[in-house]
Amino acid sequence: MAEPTDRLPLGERVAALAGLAHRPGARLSPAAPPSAVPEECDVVVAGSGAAALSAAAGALSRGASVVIFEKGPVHGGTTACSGGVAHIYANSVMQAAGIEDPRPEALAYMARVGYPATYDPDSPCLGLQPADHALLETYYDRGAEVMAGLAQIGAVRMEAPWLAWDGRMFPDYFEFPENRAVRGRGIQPLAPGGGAGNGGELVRQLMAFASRRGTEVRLGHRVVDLEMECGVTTGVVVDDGRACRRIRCHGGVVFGSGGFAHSPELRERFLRGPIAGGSGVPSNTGDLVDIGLRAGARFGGMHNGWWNQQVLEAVDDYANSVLDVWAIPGDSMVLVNRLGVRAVDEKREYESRGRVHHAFAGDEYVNRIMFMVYDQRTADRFGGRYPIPPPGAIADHVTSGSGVAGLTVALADRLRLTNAAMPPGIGPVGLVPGFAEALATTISRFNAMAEAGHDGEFGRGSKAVEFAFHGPAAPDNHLPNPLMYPIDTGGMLHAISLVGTTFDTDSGPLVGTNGQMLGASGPISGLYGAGNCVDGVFGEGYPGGGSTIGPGLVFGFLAGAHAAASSPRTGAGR
Amino acid sequence: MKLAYRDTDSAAPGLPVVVLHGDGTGSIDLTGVARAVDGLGRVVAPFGDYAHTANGMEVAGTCWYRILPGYEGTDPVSLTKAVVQVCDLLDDLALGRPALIGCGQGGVVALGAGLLRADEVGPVVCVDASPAHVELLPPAALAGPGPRLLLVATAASRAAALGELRAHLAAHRIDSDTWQWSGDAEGQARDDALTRRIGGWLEEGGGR
Repeated sequence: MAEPTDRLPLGERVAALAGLAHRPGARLSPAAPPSAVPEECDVVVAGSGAAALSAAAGALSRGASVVIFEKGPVHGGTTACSGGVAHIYANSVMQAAGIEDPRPEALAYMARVGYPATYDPDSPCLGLQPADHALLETYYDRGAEVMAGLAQIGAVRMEAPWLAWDGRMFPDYFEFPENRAVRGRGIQPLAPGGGAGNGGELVRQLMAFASRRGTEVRLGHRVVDLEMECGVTTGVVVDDGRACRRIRCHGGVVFGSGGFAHSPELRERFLRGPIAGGSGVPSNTGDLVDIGLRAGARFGGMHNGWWNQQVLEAVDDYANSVLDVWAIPGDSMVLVNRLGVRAVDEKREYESRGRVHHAFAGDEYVNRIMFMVYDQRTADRFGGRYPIPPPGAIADHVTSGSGVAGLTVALADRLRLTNAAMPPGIGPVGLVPGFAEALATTISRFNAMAEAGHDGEFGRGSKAVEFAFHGPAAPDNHLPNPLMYPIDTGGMLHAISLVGTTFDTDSGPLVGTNGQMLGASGPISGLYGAGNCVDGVFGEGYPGGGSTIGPGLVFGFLAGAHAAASSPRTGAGR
Repeated sequence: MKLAYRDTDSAAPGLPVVVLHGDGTGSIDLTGVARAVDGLGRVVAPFGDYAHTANGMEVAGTCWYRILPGYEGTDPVSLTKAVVQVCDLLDDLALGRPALIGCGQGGVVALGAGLLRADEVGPVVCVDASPAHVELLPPAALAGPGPRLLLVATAASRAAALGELRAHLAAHRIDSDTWQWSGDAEGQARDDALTRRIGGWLEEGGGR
């Protein structure tokens, strides 16, 4: 490990060099050159990820004039950093493959995953508030329809199955008796040359559609306020870095502006537990929170996000997307907390692993850091799969020591360094006295379970999704459960520190089934939201890959279409 | 997070070389380039030759800088971050005026680091770098005098981009040598030519 330096944090130096203000949430691009922004239009869209661009497509397809504002230096938002998967029920890919996705079971699955505390299969709304249940019904009923609509207008064809490494459709993240489909709900855009495209391709196609209809994304333009007359949204105030100007809109404003994962202040205010940051674009600083408050919106639960894990040293509120630990590679590997004990099924999807950091036990958030401990065999066999460096690489984020005792000493040293520069939201963390003994016990118990092929503690290797994330079994692992293998404590042991983070939050104003934001006395005329900037349709859950982009596409499109229909110039008028 | 890197032999004599990979979608992988610098001296390669998969996220995971967002390649924040990380690595390793060689977007990163640290690096080689990305470099990088610079195009189809890149740099008063391969798009002949030209240019002291 290299010696610590007195360098300023990377993000600050990058910001200074790039000529940007180095405050998380500050403007991320130089002032936009003056451009001919129209003074009025039918629909204004804030943001340029899946939700925003789908809203633009929905409005454009109904003949509306649309202006798209993106405050960041690049378009595409967090969607462009993603795999471009949408989680859509009874979609065309499933239909073509003969996979049934009946409505009652799908609704029960969404309800159980999203509202686990109140879920009740025998209640009419499954234990949910009627408005939340109605959103899930709309999501089931109109998801495939919106995908068909996007294809029909020539915007994007979400018709490629999201496949795992083994060529099978990716499974959902939870397995309950009511989840009849399990595979096939994740779909990706068809790429021009065939095959599946990622989030960049999804954004490219949606932008190309907007461009063909005469609309471009205006970068470096931040929507800072609304113009409202008699409770009706009539326009926006946009800051282009040089001046603010007003743009009048006749149909409405659709926000697809992202959550607040990169606002340390809003994280601290709304989220519970140690949340170190986000993985999406740094412009996810919750602009809609204050705008929605001023507009009189009612807010949903403000504590929800799409949880994941990041390497401690990689956390950066200023980076343009930080790689999350999408899967934890390795079989001779465990995650332990500062007590030296396991807390989660290590091979589960990122959401379940991310949530374990929020647990409060005893008198503390005991899982603020989870140490990914693995032996030399996993380092050699799984090296190159992030965050395990490729064999032979010199990697600063890995702590190594000989056996349990050596690793414990090295980790304690390491923490003395990292504690001096913890990311916002995470206080200093130390190993408990007796960590080495506890870790040795944990490993010997794990090793016995690995030999037996059964994880009696957390059920590692019991779900389809774990195998999809793990990839091919190590060739030397012939044990009954290939996701486990005894950890060799006789050689070098390695550890990587993981902290709880989020792709982005999905907490914000409540919306109705047409994407309209809700005020105290009903929908706010002309004000819409979709995606991560509003209260998430899935509650606190993450039913499967594409749970972020799916609702963005579906409710974004519905909102854009509704706003277009509300303009006296393109629709029936208000 | 500091860059993870490979280091061949810290005691090797000769010209130390830092090799920066692209995003895995370019026409050239590092194999040809690695052969070109083989034998020159110590070679440091941040996360050099990961196996790439078709899954976009896996590709991103293999790179030490994320090439984001999406299809157009990069943005000023990501690019500047990568440049700063390379500068940090140069500081940490104290290689003593190493050559920087980058492919694709790695070429622009090499260029950025070379421009910011013109007094501390040796010659810089940019293979198949995009002219569009030059304007995303931090202004401070484009202000100063540049290092000795070789721009390489590995296919005839990239000749126009090469010319544009050279013109872009010239507009900032940064001079460069150029070389382009006009034979078959891939294969041994191209890699051999690359080895001869890059290796030769470096051994001659980077064109001077």
